[in-house]
Amino acid sequence: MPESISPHPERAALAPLVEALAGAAGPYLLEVVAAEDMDEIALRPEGLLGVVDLARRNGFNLLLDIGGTDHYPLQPRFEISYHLTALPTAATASEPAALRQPNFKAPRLRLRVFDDGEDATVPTLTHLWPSADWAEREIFDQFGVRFSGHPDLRRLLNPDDFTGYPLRKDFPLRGLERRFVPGGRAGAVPPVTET
Amino acid sequence: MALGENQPFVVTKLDDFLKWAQSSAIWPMTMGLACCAIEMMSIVSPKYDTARFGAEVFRSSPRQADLMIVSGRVSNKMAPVLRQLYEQMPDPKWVISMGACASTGGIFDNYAVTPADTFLPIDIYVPGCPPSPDALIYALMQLRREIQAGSKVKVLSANA
Ligand code: SF4
Repeated sequence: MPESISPHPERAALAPLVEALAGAAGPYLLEVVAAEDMDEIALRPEGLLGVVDLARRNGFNLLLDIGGTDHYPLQPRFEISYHLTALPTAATASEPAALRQPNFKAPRLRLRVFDDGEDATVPTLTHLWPSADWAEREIFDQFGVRFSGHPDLRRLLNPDDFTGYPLRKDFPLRGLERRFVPGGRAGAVPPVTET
Repeated sequence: MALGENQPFVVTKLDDFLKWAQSSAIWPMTMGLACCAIEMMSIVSPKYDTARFGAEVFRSSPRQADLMIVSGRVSNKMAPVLRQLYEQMPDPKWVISMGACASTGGIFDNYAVTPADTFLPIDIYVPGCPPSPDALIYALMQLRREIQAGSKVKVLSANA
């Protein structure tokens, strides 16, 4: 096996933690996969907060991004994927020399949360990582997945009065309505209010 | 005081003088929407240098601008903002629709993007994805002709 794709030592050291995290998901665990790039844990939304809490206490201090996928017509339909990484801090880096090795990689972890239906709801992570705020708003905007406990769950990219969730696979590509019509000129736009 | 024999002066109509002034000092608005804006920015660089035509001063306030270059795709969420900016520009004012997206929606035939002429009166369309800076400068020259002739119709019939 060429050295470049051999699992790096940090990842091997992670195995017990991944096992503990899977245990923290309890009955909501779907599967644990050792994917090529990082370990991933698939679970139901009810188990998310327990797993994230344990991961945070074991060094996973940064939420990289939250993604959404619509697997329609497969069930369960919606997947929300979280990527966590453990940046070394003064408290966790017991051996700073190891961090300076050229092929050191901060460990990463992927959580895939599956839910279904019109009222798919996932607990928010905004109280743990403020950066989750806009990521969750974007997923709500595009997929219609709700985040329970989110302080300000409004649309982010689409107009506030937009109908539907455009990144769902059953959403018509051209949308449900024409907001502006050819030749509309001035009349097609709602009157401008000075602010 | 009588003018001496060698003192230069010009006789003109006030209308022509105004058109000459307007067309030789076009003030575009600082506004970039998408990838086309990169090409738009380069027209004021030393390489293309629209200062030659008096159109290099991009104003950051719509109240000081008389040309809006719609440089890129317009999303449905952005369209009312553009309309408001357009209405804040003092008359007389002109609009150039730059690129495939602003002119027709381009490759974005979807729920999010609308052509600029669905909510703005466009004077010049520039084709391309993105149009080269030369094409945009050509549009500027065409706009100057349009201003000097007083209307687009006169330019088109003169060119025919
Ligand atoms: S016309 Fe092409 S370059 Fe211009 S905004 Fe559209 S995609 Fe970008």
